[in-house]
Amino acid sequence: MTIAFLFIALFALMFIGIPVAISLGLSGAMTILMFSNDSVRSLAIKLFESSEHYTLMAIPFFLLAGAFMTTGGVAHRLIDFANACVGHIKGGLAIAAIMACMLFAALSGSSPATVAAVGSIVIAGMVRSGYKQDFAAGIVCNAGTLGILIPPSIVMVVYATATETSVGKLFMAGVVPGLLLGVFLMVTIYILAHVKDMPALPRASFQEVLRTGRRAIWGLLLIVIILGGIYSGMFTPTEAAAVAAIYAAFVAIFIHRDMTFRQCPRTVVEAGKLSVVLMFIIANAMLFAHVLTTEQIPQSITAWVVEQGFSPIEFLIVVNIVLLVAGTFMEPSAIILILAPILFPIAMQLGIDPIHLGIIMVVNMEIGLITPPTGLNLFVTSAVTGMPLTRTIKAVSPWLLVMLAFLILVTYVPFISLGLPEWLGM
Amino acid sequence: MNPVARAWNQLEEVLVCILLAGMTLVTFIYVLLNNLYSVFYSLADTIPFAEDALFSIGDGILYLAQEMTWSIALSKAMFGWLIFIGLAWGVRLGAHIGVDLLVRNFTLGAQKAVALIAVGICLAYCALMAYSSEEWVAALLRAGIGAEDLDRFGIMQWHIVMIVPIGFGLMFLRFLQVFVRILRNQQLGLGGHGEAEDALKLATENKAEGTKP
Repeated sequence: MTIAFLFIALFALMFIGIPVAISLGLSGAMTILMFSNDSVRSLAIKLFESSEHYTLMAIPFFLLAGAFMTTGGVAHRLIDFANACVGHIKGGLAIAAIMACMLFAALSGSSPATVAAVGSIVIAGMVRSGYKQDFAAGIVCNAGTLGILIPPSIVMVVYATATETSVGKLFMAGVVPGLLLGVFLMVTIYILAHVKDMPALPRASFQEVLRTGRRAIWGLLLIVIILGGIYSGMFTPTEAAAVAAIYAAFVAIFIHRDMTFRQCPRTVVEAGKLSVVLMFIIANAMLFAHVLTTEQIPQSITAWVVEQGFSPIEFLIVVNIVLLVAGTFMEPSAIILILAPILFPIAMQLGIDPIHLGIIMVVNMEIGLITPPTGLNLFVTSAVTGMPLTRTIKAVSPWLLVMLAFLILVTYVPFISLGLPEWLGM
Repeated sequence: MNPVARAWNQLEEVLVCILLAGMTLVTFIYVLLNNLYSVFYSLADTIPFAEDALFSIGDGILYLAQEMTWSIALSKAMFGWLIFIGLAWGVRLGAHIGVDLLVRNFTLGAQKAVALIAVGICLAYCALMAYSSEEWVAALLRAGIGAEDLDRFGIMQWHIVMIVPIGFGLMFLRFLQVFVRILRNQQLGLGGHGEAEDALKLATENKAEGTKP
């Protein structure tokens, strides 16, 4: 009864156009006031709690780092480097676009940011070299989802907060799946390029590769700082994020000199806006999730699932379907906060590794980012290319098959996610 | 626009900028100090003739790092302020993400009616949260508890939490503005797709610069 009210209120509020954050908060608040004995005061306390999570502070820091790298020309340099490395292969520009997305994803924790940074430069370039615009848009929109799979990742930070798992371990677990998905997409393009006879760039000389590599090195170094710093225990993920933000600002202003001091406040304010919006969703989703836990929903669902005797394989199919559906109309962070507390205890019961579950959830969220109606990557791609949203959706849809195949692989081969963190002894 | 409104608009952005930059710098400096002293200690071990000097620099940094226990509490407080100051600002920019899929298919008249109801509900939400947090702040004020790690600067818990009712109060005012704008047919929906638009804005700025030689 309580739960039915909670979810019906949520959907009713959301579909008349109320912001997702307020829909989550208000449906949670109404449920608490109507069905429980908690004081009104507890609402505000719950909302404010989100700002007390030290882990979540990594989110504004990573967004700030991403903003500095997008406005300062790090993306440009990464793309030049990628072109020099793989441009000479058949379909080279498209493969280089994927590589650029992978590199930028390793610096940024957000998928829309990756699409915007890489797509705004790469798609026009591909069209000039004779690629179809739809093809170019489809590739970048898809590869951009790597932003949340390849560390750092904002969605992983949220998952770690919701389930109290280690952010560092999740980041490491994302490395191999991220690279694998990138290679998956590249191979698909390579095959398509031979079938459709796509153009190739002239082979870049070794000096050229070195030269572009040297120009991109300051951006690439950040990967080492973030992952190396967290892995060696020099800093926590939150601290790593703060270091990344300062480093990105320093590189943009003093080394690349793409920005002046006076442009800094604008960039900080933009990152601030993203942070506020995201944190408001997270705070309200936490209030919503709080209702679920006080109503003992996770426990009763877990009991039911165990009683039904689901095998882990069957359970994971259900997980994927639920997440795919949720992913089409909600914000990734909100989904993680609402569903992780429900799925996590069941997974524990069935002996599924929490880190593996995290990676499965992230890959599902990636697919959610490129499916209508609320796939953020679709909006960014459509705006970057000037293509109507419907045409963008059509351009992206064939790539969904690759993503789904990859999802199945990641779901049923835990070694892909768990191999690296285990090998590193984390 | 009247000067008070313009000044307030400016102030919102300046505050967001200062708070975000502030929490980043505080965290960064803390990390720096925490990792730097060991560098000086190991330098002291390898360069014998400067041993004393390096050791004392290391000691100094270690002392500073230990003194900075307030840094985490301070950045958390700034984080809270950033979020709740930013709420109202997000409403003004139409940055809070919503699903307008269903509503977009309605006739204009129906869209306006639905939008008014939606904003009305948002107003109720802000009022509820403002009331709820005001009670909390009042309770904290009565209790008079100092903020953890920050009490030595005379900061009380209610000083930090105070921003919650203020934030929701300001958000209420912003939604009121939206309500009036919709009523006067100056605006139709609540806003946009947040993260998507912002990522874009940054990228187009970059593109404009990138085309320069």
